[in-house]
Amino acid sequence: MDIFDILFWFLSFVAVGCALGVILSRNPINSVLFLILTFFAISGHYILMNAQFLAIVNIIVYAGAIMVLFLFVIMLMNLNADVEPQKGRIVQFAGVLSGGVFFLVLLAATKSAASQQMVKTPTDIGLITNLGKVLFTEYVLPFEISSVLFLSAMIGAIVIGKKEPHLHQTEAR
Amino acid sequence: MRRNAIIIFMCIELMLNSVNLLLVSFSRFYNDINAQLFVFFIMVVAAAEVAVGLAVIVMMYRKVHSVDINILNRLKH
Repeated sequence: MDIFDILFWFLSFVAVGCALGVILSRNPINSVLFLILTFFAISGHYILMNAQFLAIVNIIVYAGAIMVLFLFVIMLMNLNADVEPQKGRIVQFAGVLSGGVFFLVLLAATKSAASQQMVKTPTDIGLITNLGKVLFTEYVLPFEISSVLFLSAMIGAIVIGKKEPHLHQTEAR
Repeated sequence: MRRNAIIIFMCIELMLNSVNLLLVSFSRFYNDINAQLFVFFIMVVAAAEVAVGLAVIVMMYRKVHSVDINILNRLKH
C-alpha cells in the first residue's frame, strides 16, 4: 500500500462523509461548510488523477466563488434551523426504496462490467498547455457560446434580483 | 426529507460534482483529453445556474419570507 492508495482512501472517506454531512445536517451553514470540504476532497482526487488544471479551477470556481455566494445568501436570509417540519412517512419510505433499488442496479452493473487494467503510464493531458490548445482549437465555438451564456446569466440574475418599486406601490394600494 | 430550497441547490451541485469526478476518472482511464474539457464546460454551466438560481431564491424569500419549497406549490392549483 503506497502513498497513493493511502491518499485515495483518505480523500474518498472525507468526500463521502462530508457529502453525507451536507444532506444530513440541520443547519444550512453547516451544509455549506461540509460542501466546501467535499469540494476540496474532490480537488485532491483530481490531483491524484493528473488533472491539475481542473483541480485548481474546482477550488477557485466552486470553493471560492459559488460557496461564498451560497454563504452570502444564507446569511442574508437569517434562517433558523429549527423550523423544518418533516415529510410524511410514505414519502420517506418511497425515497429509501427507490434509492436502494438504484444502488442495487449500480452494484449489478459494476459487477458485470469487464474489469480492465488501467495503463499506469504518467500522462500530462491535465496540464494547462494541452487543455488550452484543445480548448482554443477544437472547442473554440462552445467556449465563445459559454461566454454569451455567462453574460445572459449575469443579466438574468440582475433582472430577477432587482427590486421593483412600482410593484410594491400597486400592492400597497 | 429536506424542503429548504438552498439545500436542494447544494445537492444539485453535489450531483454535478459527482459527474465531474466520473468524467475525470474516465479521462485518466482512457488517456483522453475530451472528458476534461467536458468537465470544464459543466463547471461553466453550473456557475451560471447557481447565479440565476440564487437570484430566484432571494426573490422568493423577499416575496413570501421563506425558502420552503412547499410554499411554492401554488402553481399547482
